[in-house]
Parts: sequence; C-alpha cells; structure tokens
Amino acid sequence: MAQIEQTTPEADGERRWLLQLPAAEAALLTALPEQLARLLASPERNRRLIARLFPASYSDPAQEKEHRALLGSSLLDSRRELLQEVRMLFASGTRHRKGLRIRLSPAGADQLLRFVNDMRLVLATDLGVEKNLGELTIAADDPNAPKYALLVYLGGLESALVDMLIGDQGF
Amino acid sequence: MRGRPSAPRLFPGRSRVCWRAMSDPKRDTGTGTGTRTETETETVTSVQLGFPWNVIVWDDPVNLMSYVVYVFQKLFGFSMQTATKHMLEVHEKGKSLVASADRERAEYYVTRLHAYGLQATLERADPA
Repeated sequence: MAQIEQTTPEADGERRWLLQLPAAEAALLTALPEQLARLLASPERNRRLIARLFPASYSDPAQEKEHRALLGSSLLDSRRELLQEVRMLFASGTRHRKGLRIRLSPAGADQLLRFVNDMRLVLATDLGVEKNLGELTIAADDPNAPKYALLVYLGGLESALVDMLIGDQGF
Repeated sequence: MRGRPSAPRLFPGRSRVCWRAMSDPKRDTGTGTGTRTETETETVTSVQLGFPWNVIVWDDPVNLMSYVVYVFQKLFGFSMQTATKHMLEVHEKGKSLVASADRERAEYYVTRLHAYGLQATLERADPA
C-alpha cells in the first residue's frame, strides 16, 4: 500500500512529502492520466462522463449556454493542464527496485489529489454509482469488480492525501 | 484559471460589485486559514450594493467528506469548523450555501468548485 511521509522542510520553508508507491500501484497510477486524456480528447463520445467532470453552473439552460460560451474551451484546457502536471509529477519520481518515490510539494499534492478525485468521479459515473460507496456490496465475480476495486483504492489514496494536506494547513 | 489572483476578472464585460463569503468573519479573518497568502480567496465582508448570487454545493455520493472539507478550506479560507459545518450540511440536507457574491465572483467560485469535482451551482439570491 502507498505510504506518505513528511520530509524536512525545504529552504523555502514549504513542507514536502515523500509518496512511496509499490511497483504494482505505481504501474497502475501512472497509466491513469492517459485514460483520462483519451476521454478528454473525445468529449462528444463520452458525454455522460464529461458531464460529471464539467457540471452545469446554472439550472437555467439559457444562462448555462451563455456561461459556457464565455468560458469557451478553458474548462477542457484546464483539465488537460492538470493532466500534464500530473504526468510531470510522476515522471519526476525516482524508480527503484520496490516501486516509485515521488516528492510532493503542497501544490503537487493538490494537483495529484484533484487528479485522483477526477478519476474517482469518472469511474463512479461509469459504474452508475448513485449511493454512498460504503453502502454498496460488490460480488467478487461481478464483471465490474476490478473497477470498483480501483475506485476503493483511489479513495484510500485520496483520503491519505487529504489527511496530509489538512494536517499541514499550509495550503 | 491557475495562478489567477484572488479577485480575478473572468468576464470584463460584467461589473463587479461586491461579494462576501458565508463564513464566520470573526473566526475566518485574522487568525483563520483565510488569511494565508496561498489560500485562493480571502474571507472578508463588504457592503452589498446589489442583489448577490448564491453559490450552492450539492450532495454527491462519491466525493469524500474529508475531501469536501479540504476544498472548502482551500477555496474559501474557511476554518476547519466552518468547513466541516458546510460539509455536514451538504451531506445531511443535500446542499449548502457556501458563498454569496456578485455574479462574476460567484461564477468564479462555481468554476473552481467544479475544477475540484464538487457539484455546485449559482443562483440569484432572493431579493427579499
């Protein structure tokens, strides 16, 4: 299981953490940005999932249409920028025999957290999750069991990242 | 949107009148996280000159409760107590009014909340 430990503060005073991912988790996590990138590359073919990532700001369709027109492509662009930042974060990691070590700044941790949450939202929407995950029971032979397992795993990672950032209170 | 200052002008054609965060100013200004320079918004109260717009966050079965608390603290500078109060309101009542602002800033808040994966909308506050 992934481990996060705080390291000594840098000269700039900012805190840093070390995220240690076992090899299997590192392989899983570092492949996810491409999955999300493919989805963002074809928003018209993934309307339901895209709609969860970019929900309406207004309940009134006319106001929403005007708002979207003002925003243009900035929403998609900002998600793509986030993916690029996460790719760079993963690439900055040090690979070793047992996995991957990634140094996290508060900003990097926040980006990773948002990415993990985006993946959870996409997975949950794809699975049609409509009630709290704790209330769901998934059979081991459910064809979607691997997706649920990934959802639960990402939830654990997200929880650890939140605890780390909230505990820091330096964001 | 990243790197914008705390009072961005997203749509220059719209007038910016005023805004206020729905938090306890005694708690969130001065010593709370709202004064931290890296927090994306400051938490101050200003005079209302027009009908404000309300920012509503809606319940969602996927977002973690601790994550929602983190986002509220990050975006609105809420204290842990205030952020938790709003999170519980979302969880138990289905929604929470987290900010009231002029339209431009309310849109900015909603866009930032969406960037963090929260379900949020803005609506005109009741003039009464």
